[in-house]
Amino acid sequence: MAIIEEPLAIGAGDDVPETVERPLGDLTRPQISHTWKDWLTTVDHKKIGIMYGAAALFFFAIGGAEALLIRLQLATPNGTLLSPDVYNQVFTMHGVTMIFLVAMPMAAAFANYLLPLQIGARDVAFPRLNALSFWVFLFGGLFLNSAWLFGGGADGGWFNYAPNSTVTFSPSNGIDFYALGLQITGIASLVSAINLITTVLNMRPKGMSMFRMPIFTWMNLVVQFLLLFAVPVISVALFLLTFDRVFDANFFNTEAGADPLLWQHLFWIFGHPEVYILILPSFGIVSEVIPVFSRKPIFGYSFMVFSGVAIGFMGWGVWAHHMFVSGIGPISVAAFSLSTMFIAVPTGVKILNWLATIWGGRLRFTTAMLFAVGVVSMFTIGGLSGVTHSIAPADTQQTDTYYIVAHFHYVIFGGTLLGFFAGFYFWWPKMFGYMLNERVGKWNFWLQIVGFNLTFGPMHILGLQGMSRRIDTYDKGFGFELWNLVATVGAFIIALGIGIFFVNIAISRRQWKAAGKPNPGPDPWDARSLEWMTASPTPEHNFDDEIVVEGLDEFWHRKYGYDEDHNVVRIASAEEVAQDGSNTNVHLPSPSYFPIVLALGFPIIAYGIIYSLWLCIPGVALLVYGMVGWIFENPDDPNAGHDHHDDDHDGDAPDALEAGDEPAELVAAGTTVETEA
Amino acid sequence: MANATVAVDAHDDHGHHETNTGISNNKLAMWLFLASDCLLFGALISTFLLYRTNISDNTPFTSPSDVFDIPFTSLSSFVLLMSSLTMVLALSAVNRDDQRAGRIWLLTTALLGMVFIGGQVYEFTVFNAEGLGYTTNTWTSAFFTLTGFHGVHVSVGILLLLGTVFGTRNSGLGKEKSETVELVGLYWHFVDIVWVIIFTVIYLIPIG
Amino acid sequence: MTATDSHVDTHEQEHEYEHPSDRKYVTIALILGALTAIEILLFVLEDDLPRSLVKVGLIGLMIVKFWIVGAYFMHLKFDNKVLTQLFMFGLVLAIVVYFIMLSSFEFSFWNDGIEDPGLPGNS
Repeated sequence: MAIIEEPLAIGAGDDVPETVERPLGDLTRPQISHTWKDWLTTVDHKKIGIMYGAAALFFFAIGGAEALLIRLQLATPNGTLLSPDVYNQVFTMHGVTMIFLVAMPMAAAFANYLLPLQIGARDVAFPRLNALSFWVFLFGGLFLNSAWLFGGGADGGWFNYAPNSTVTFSPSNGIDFYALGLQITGIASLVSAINLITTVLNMRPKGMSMFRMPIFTWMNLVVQFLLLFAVPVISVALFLLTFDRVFDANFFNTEAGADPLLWQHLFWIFGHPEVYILILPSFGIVSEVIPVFSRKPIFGYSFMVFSGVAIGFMGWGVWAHHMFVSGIGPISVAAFSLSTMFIAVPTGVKILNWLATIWGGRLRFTTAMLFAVGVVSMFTIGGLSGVTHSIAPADTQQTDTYYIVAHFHYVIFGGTLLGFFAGFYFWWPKMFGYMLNERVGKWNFWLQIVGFNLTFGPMHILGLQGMSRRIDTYDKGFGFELWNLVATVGAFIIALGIGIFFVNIAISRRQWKAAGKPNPGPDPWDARSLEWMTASPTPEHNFDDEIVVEGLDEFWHRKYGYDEDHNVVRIASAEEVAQDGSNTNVHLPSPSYFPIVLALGFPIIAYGIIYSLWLCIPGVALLVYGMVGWIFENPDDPNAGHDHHDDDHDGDAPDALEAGDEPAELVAAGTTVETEA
Repeated sequence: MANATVAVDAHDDHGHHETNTGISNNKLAMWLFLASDCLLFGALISTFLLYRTNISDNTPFTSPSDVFDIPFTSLSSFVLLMSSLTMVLALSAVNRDDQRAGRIWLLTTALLGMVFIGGQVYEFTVFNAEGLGYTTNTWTSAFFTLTGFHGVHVSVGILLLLGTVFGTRNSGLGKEKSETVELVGLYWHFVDIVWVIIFTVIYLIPIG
Repeated sequence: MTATDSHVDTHEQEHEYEHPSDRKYVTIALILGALTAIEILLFVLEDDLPRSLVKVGLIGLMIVKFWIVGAYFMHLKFDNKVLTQLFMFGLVLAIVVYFIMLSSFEFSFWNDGIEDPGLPGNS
């Protein structure tokens, strides 16, 4: 009862007293040091976005190296570079890495950086949870790849069908690393989804209604909803697999009467929304780039939004088209065949709208625009081969051949990845304050697009000729030699193109420094949305003042007006309209050690599950320590010298930062654990 | 009437700033998480339903009704249901700024949760003694996993409740903490309605 | 204080923000308890009643209990409709998707009219 009758320490209010501020003594509030250490404790959505991008590029190099190994092995008949076992691991890890550790975090990089900017917000709703998402993702990805050091990676293909993925058929620990690693990155995606949805729904400034948001923001909102509902499904599937492998459960044990289709259903219920999780961010980027370089507003804004939402909905009703040959019965096959044909409609709407935006525009073929046009054309090819899969009898022929490999590389490489490159060239000056070299950029584009078509174009033919997917080698005389060699040559041209991208970063940066670091200005492309309405690179506080939005393409409408003859005329320069970022009197959320500390607990627990449950104890202890510290650390440093919220009720932008309030993050932190447990 | 006044005031106090939807970020985030959790439990329940008739593999039992102790489970279900009542009473007390009652009701809720978990541990022990181990057949794997996940959710809820009671020893549990209690409550009620489904679908509905 | 009260009054009427009183919460809990008792009664009388009645009754009671807890204890009934929509979206999505999944296991016996003996759902 003493607890209950204890007098109040402080009055009503959210400020946590100093003594509680440092409950564990060690990790006191980090101070800004302007060194690399700031990055470990940052809660700034822009820094987190850049770290997501850097981590994704790091994993991209790993996944790319794996791809080159695959192509070297298959370049000639009877290749001997990789043993069949190692080959299985390499193509599995290539797929898993590229999807979960490259495409998804790269989309998260753009979403993190741009979503708050595009809606005109100061930061995301929960800055510390945002940092947590990143660190959990990074440690999960490193954990997954650490399998190479502990006896080899997963070897059952990226979907690791049961019962092939059970201990009997895959005795190494590779699939344990796969299941637990994806579980961890799934936690990151889920937390991030909740955070970004809350941001978009709740943190828009005055006048920014849902239908004034840029298409990129819309597409990412749809993606975050897909993640919100798809991640728990794969989590369950991975839990069941882990329990089967580690604790001898019987979910996929066919000898005990289990049905292996359970795994396939759960995996693809997640897996097909996942396909749209991969492509929609890229659609969003293309929808930003094309209007800017066509000097026209996007054609059919509401159609673009609703087709994106429709894809999000319909993405839930097509999963079994991945399972046409697994014996799900004619009724299921017919139903899923139809729904798959239908989902091509909203995608077609998008492609039509991009073409109509380009049509009659005053085009500027910058590198970003070239990549965007590359997406439209290459994705269309991939989309069309996708429709051929919806016809079940044809799919029966194509399944597990290189035709499928060709299809999904045309949509994921030709759609998603090229879109990200368009985004790099487009937003680089906004993120880093210097332009990427356009001439080198064009080499980058052309090498990549030529290499891409040389690699994956011939795979259509190989597939129709009957070359099996995942086969580690082939004999002479099947007619596979030529096209495999072409594909391998193409893969190295892609590698060269991507190498040039990294070279371009170095060259552009050096030239910029040599020229005395000229500022590209807030708006180097004459763009349309709010992220261009602040200085480049984006100042830490994003916007000096809250922007009151009056319409779609707000920034463009502030620069352009109409004369008496209804001709578009420039009425203001970008510098006049944009904010210069000079406001230093903005209260920002304080950095924190606890996201990275908490995140570090997850891989330790995962190693514990694989090797010894005793190791879980320090992992859980770290998790609990991180959470307790997190809860008692006020997200806004009361000693920062700014007025705290109670004086400041007029709802101005700095105040909006205090969203991540202490008590609720207690709950939020708790939920991440229980998803993991 | 007094309650309503306090509730609205507390909401205003805590809102700090206007959000576009009028819902605080914390509450919106909690509901998003709960919506997402529907898919998690849906998958686990579906897995159990797929294997619901397989109890006879490797066991002497022919039907789940041979092993379920319905009177016992009914009682623990009732305990969990009543913990939802004590949870809303806790929130109501905090909204009235009645700290003492708030703490008592929160602790009662945690206690009822522990009784439920205790019942689950007892049930698992009995099953194990009757030869229904985790690895015995597909039915047992699915049953223990589903109810185990629910049990973990309840345990996390208990920790959140205790954390709310003991973590506010210095700062107090006044009505400015109403949102914290409300969010813990939302989680707790969700765990409760998941059990409402599990109790009916797994324990009560006859097979065939 | 009167000023605040009147403000709250209008607020309530506009947004139906009225939270139930403690007494009402207890009543709701008693109703939930009674519904649980009926569920158990249905279970006990399982062999004396038509199977379909028992099943429909149990599922109906489950939905009612779910709705009562959601509407009153989680106060969705009094809260912003966006929250109900978000939660219902997740719930309905889960029901539809998993229902289709489970049906596809049942449907597989349509394969050439041969029932697959390995299917656990059909045994």
